[in-house]
Amino acid sequence: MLSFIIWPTLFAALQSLDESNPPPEIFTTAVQPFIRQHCDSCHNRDSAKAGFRVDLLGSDFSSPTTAAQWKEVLDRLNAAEMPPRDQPRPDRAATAAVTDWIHDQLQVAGQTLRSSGAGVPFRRLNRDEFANTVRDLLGLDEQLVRPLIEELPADGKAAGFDRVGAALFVDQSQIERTLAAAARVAEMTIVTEPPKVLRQLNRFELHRLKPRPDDVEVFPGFAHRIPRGAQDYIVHPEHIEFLQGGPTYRRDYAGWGVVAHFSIAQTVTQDGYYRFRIHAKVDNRGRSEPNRLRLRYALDSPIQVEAEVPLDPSGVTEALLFLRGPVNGEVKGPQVFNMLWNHTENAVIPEPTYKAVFSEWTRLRGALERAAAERAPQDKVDALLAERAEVEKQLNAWSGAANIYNPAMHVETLPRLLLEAVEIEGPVQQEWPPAPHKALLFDGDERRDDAYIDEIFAKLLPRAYRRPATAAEIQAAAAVVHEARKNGGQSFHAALRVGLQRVLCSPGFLFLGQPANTAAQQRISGYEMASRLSYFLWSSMPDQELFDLAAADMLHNPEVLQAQVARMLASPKSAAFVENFAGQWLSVRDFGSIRPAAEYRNYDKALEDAARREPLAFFSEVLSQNLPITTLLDSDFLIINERLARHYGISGVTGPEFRRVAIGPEHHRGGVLGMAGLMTWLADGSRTLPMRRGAWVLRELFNDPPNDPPPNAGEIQPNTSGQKLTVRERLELHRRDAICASCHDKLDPWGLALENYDAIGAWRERFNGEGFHGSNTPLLDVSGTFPDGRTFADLHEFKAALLDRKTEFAAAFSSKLLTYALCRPVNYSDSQLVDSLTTTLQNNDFRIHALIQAIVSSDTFQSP
Amino acid sequence: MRRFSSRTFLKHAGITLALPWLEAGHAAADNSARPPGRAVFCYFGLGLNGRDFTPADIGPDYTATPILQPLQPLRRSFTVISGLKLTHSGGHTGDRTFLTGTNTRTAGGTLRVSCDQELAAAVGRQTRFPSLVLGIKRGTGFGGYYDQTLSWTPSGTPIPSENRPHVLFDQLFRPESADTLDAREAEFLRRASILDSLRTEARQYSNALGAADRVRLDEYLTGIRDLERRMQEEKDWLRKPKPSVASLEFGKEQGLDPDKSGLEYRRYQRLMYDVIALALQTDSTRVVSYLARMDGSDGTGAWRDQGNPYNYHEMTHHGEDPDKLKWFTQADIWYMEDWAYFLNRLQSIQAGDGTLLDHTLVAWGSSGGTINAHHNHHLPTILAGGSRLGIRHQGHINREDIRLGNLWATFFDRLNAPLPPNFQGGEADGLITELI
Repeated sequence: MLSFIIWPTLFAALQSLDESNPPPEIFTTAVQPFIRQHCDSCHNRDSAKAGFRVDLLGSDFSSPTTAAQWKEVLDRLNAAEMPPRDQPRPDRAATAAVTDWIHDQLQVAGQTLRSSGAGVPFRRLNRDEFANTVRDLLGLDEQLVRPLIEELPADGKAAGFDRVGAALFVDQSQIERTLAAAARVAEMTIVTEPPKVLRQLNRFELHRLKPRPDDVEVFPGFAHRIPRGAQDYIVHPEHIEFLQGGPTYRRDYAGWGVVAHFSIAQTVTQDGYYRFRIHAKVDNRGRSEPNRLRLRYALDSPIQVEAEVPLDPSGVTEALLFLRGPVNGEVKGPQVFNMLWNHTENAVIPEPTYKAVFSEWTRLRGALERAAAERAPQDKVDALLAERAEVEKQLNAWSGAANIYNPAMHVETLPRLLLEAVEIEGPVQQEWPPAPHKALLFDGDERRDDAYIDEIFAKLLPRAYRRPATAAEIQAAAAVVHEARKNGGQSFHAALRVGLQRVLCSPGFLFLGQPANTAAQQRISGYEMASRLSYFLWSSMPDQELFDLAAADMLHNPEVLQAQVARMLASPKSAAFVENFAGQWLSVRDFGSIRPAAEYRNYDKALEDAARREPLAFFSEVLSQNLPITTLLDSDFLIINERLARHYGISGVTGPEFRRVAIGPEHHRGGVLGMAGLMTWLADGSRTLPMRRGAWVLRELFNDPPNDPPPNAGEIQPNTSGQKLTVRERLELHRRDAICASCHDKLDPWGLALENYDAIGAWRERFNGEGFHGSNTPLLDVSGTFPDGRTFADLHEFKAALLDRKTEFAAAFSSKLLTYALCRPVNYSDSQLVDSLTTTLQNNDFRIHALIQAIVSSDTFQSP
Repeated sequence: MRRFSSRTFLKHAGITLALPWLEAGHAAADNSARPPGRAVFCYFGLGLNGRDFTPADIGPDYTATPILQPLQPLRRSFTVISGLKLTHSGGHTGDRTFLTGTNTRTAGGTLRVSCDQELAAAVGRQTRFPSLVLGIKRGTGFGGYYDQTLSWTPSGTPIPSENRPHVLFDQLFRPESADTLDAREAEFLRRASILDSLRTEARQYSNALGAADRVRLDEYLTGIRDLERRMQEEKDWLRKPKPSVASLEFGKEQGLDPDKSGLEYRRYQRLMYDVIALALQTDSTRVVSYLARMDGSDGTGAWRDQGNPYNYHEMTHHGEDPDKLKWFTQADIWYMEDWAYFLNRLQSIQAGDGTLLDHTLVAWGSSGGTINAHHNHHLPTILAGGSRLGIRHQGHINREDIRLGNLWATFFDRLNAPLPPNFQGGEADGLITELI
C-alpha cells in the first residue's frame, strides 16, 4: 500500500526535516495529546523520572537525539512497561497510532541517514562485480576467476542488496585482500612457462593384484563366510566386465551404478581443466537406450563437480572438466574421482531368504541403539539381545550363496560395460600462451622495452577504468613497473604483474562513479551511463558495443538506450542480474542455512539443490519471456525438474534439467510463495513459523515491513511434552495479551494462510512435524481476516486476495528493483518515481521489461 | 593436567633451550617490572542450563551449582555475573552482537568494530600479534547463518578465525626460514611501492569528488595508511626472533582440526587453551577472542562423546523434558571442565607478583540467556582472573538489566585503555563497579 498509506507520512517526515515547517498534523492531533495524557506527569521539567523528558520531544527525526528518544518511547510502549502498571491504561487504538507513527518516522529517518545523493552513489565494486570485471577485462576463464570471491571479504548488505553503496566499506583488510586477489589474477594472466601437466593412468591393476575372494562374510564383521554367488563384475586380463555397478544409496541416482572410485589428489594439484579419457566399451546385447557415464569429483564438498557424458562407441570417451585443487593449500573435500554408468539395476540381488535374515539383524541393531539412547529398562534390552543372538545363530547357519541373478531378468541379454582404464591429465591449456596473456602483451613476448610497458597500460587502462584514462594515470601505472624492473630487480614479466596488480587495486578500477570534474554537468557522461547499465544488468563492465556508443555519446538517445537494454537482457550475461537481484530479493543465497529435522525424511541434497535453483529459474523465465511481474504472485506454470516435481506431487517430469511445466489448481503451487526453498527458509527446520512467513510477505511483496517485535515478545515455544498444540493454537495463547494482539492482527493473516506448506514446503492438510505423525493429527485451519476486513477460507482465496493487491505489489517490486538499480535505499525523494514506475507497469500489463526500461530511462538513474 | 614434552625446541639461532614450562614463561614475564594486562574473550553459543548454573544466593559464599563445580578450586579467582543483557539480537544470532554491541543480521544494519579489536588497537601494538582471533570453525562464516568469528575490523569486516592449535603454535613460535623471510620482505617492498602509487592516484581522485563521495575515498586512503603501518610493524617484527618455548605434544594432527572429521574434542580443546596460555605467557599477544562454541549446533557435536542423544539446540529448547535437562547440564559441565583447565593453566604460570591468571581478564560469555530457550537477557557470564589488575572477585553478583557492554567497558578500565568513541555502538553505559 506504498503509494497510498506510507507516502503521506513520508512527506510528513520531509516537512519535519525542515525546522521552519510546522510539525505534521498527526503529531499535534494524536501524538502530543497522547504523550501529555500518559507520560508528561512523570517525565517533565519538574520530575524528569529516569532523566527522561517528553515535554521537549519534537517531531524532527533528523536529529539523532530526538530519534533515539522516540525509539525509547516506542520500546517502552511496545513492551507495555510504560505507563507503569499503577497508572491508567492507554487506549489500545491510540497506542497503536502513536507506535505506528514513531516506527514510520524512524524508518524514514534511518533511510535518509543511509542514503547519499539523489542519483547513483559513488561506491566500490562488490566482490562478485570485481570477479566479473576481471574476467571481462582480461578475458579470463569464468571458472578460474570465480574462486577469487572466496579470497575477498564478504560484502555488507543494505536495504537487502550487496551492491548498495552505504554498506560497501573499504578498510585495511579490504585493501590487503584485494591486493592478494589481484596478485593471483596477475599470475593467471601473465605467464612465463606452461604449468607442469600431470598424468594418471588407472588400469585397475588392484583387481588383478588383489582379486576379490569368491566367498564373503555372512554379515560384515562375522567370521562365518559363504559363497558370493552371482557376480556383478568379472575381472578379465584386458578389462573389467560390469553387469552391475556398486550401489549409490541415493534415490536421485536410481538407475546408476558406481564402476570406478579412486583418489586423484596426486594429479589435481591446482585449479584447471583436466582431460579424462575413459577406455570403455559396452557389449549392448539387448540394450537399445544410449549408454551414459557420470563423472563426479570431490563429492559432498564445496568443490564438487559432476558431469554426464555419452559413452563413445569408439572405445574412448573424452571429457574436459574444470576441477579445483586444494584451496589455500587445503583440500576442502575428498579429492576422489567417482564414475557411474546407467546400468541395469537389480540384475544381481541378495538371495531373498538370506536377505530377510540379515535385514532382521540390522533391524535389531537399530532397536538396540534406540533402547540404549532412551535408557530403556534392562529387561527390554535383554529381550532384544536374546532375539539378536537367535538371528545370529540363523546367519551363521546359512551356507547358501549371498547373491543370485535376478530370476525376473534374462541375464544373458543384459548389457555389459567393459572398462579398461581411466586416464587423467592436466591442467590442460587450450593454447599457449593463453589468450589473456596474448591480449595484454599485444605485441608478443619478445619486446622488453620501456615504451612497450607504456603502450600496454595505455591500452589496458581505459577499459579497466571504463572511461578514457589521462596520460598521468597511464604514466602512474607504468611507473610502478619501471621501478620494479630498475630498483626491484624484477624480470619483465614479474614487473608487469606488479603493474597489473596495481591497476586492479586502484580507485579507478575499484570504484564506480563519475569522476567528479564532470559532476557539475547536468547529466552523466556516456561512459558513466554505460557502466551504470552494465553493472545493473550484467554485474560487470560494459562490452565493446557499449563503449563505442559511450564514445559516440549515443546512450542518451532514448531509442538507442532502449535497444541496448533489450540486447543486454537477451544476453546470457543477464544471468548475473537474475542471480544477484532475484537471488537476494528471494533470499536464495540463504537457503540451505535451515537444516530440516530428521523427521522430514523426504528432505535430501537433491531437493535442497533443486529448491535453490527453482526461484532463479522461475525469475529467469519471467525475465526472458517478459512476463507480468504478477506471475511472481501466482502462476499457471512452474519451472521445475524431476526432484521438485516429486516433492510437489506433479507427475510426468523426468530428468534433472529444469523446464516449464503447466499446473492446475489441484497442485496448490504457482508464484514464489509456493516454492519449497522459500517456505523451508521461512520455517525453522522443525516447525513452520507463520509470523516469519507473514513478515516476509509484508516486507518483500508489499514493502510494508511490520514493526519489530518488542524486546520481550518471546517466541512461540516448541511443544512441551504431553501437549499437542498446533502452531496456530499456541499462537492464540500468545495473542491473548492485548499488546501482542495489536501487532498480530496485522501480521497473522499473511502467514497463517501459508500453513498448508510444511517446514520443508511440502503440501499438507493436517498438522505435521514436531512429532505429529500419522493421519489423526489436527486438520489445519488456514482461514483468516485481513486488516481491511476481507476474509479468506483457504490458500486459493488468499492468493486471489494477493492478486487483487497487484498495484501495491507493483509499487513494492518497483521500489525493490529501483533500490537495486540505484545502489541506494529508495527514500521519500523517489516517491514520484516509484509512483510513475507503478503506473508504467499498470499501463503495460505489468510486464517486467517495461519496468526495467522505465527505470533506466528515468532522470534519477541518469542523474549525476 | 597435561604434561609437556621435555623434548627441546630448537631456536633458529642454533641454541638449544630446554626450559621446563614455568621457567620459560618466567624469563619472558620478568622483562618488565610490571607484567602487562591481557584480555581473553571466550564465547559459548546458545547459552547453558541456567537452573544448574546460576547460584541461588549472592555473594562470595554462594552455593556452587553443578555446572560451576569444575571451577570451584579457583573459587576466589572468578565472579559469576548474573542479569546482563544484550539489546540487539541475541538468542540464535547473538554471536555477532556479543563483542560489538550492535551488529546484527538485519538488512540495512551497519556493521562495526568489535571491542577486542579496539582493545588490540590500544594495548596490542607492543606485541608481535596485536590480537589472536580464534574459533571452533576456521574463517568468518560471513554470509552463512552463524558466525565463526567474534572479531570485526573498524569498518565492519569480519576477521577470519584460526582453529588448529598446531597451526597457531607454528604461527606464534616456529622460526621462519631465511627464504620465507626474504620472500616476505620482497613482498613488503612490492606492496609498499604499489600502495604508494595508489595513494597518489586516490588523492587526485579525491580532490575532484564531491563531499559525500569523498568519504568513500577517504576510507580508501585511511585503509592504505593502516595497511602500511601494519606492514611496517610486521616488518619490524620479521627479523626479531620469535620466543623460544618447549614444543607441545600435539600428537596426531588428524583429530585436531575441527573442520575435518574425526575431531577428538577434548584433546583439541585443551591444546587450544595450552597454546593461548603460551601466547599470553610469552607476551606474543595481549588480546584473544575465541568463539569456542557456535550458535546453532556448536559446530562439532562434541558433547555426543558422552552418549548424549540430543542436539545442543534441541537441549536448549528442552520444553521442560527432564531427560533433555539432565543431558543439557552434563554437556555444560563437560564444557566447563575444559574452561577450568584453561584457568588452571593460567593460574599455574608465574607472572610478576602473581600468576598469569591474576594479570589476565578472562571472560566466559554467551548471547543466550539462562531463563529458558535463549533470550538476550539474563546472559550467563563469568569474569575470571585479573586480581592484580584491580579486580575484586565477589563470588556471585546480580546486575539485573545491565548491558553486557558494561563488562567490556570494565575490561578497558582495568587495562588502562581509553574507552573508544561510540563504544559498543552506545550499548554500554558504565562499569560493573562491584568488581573494581
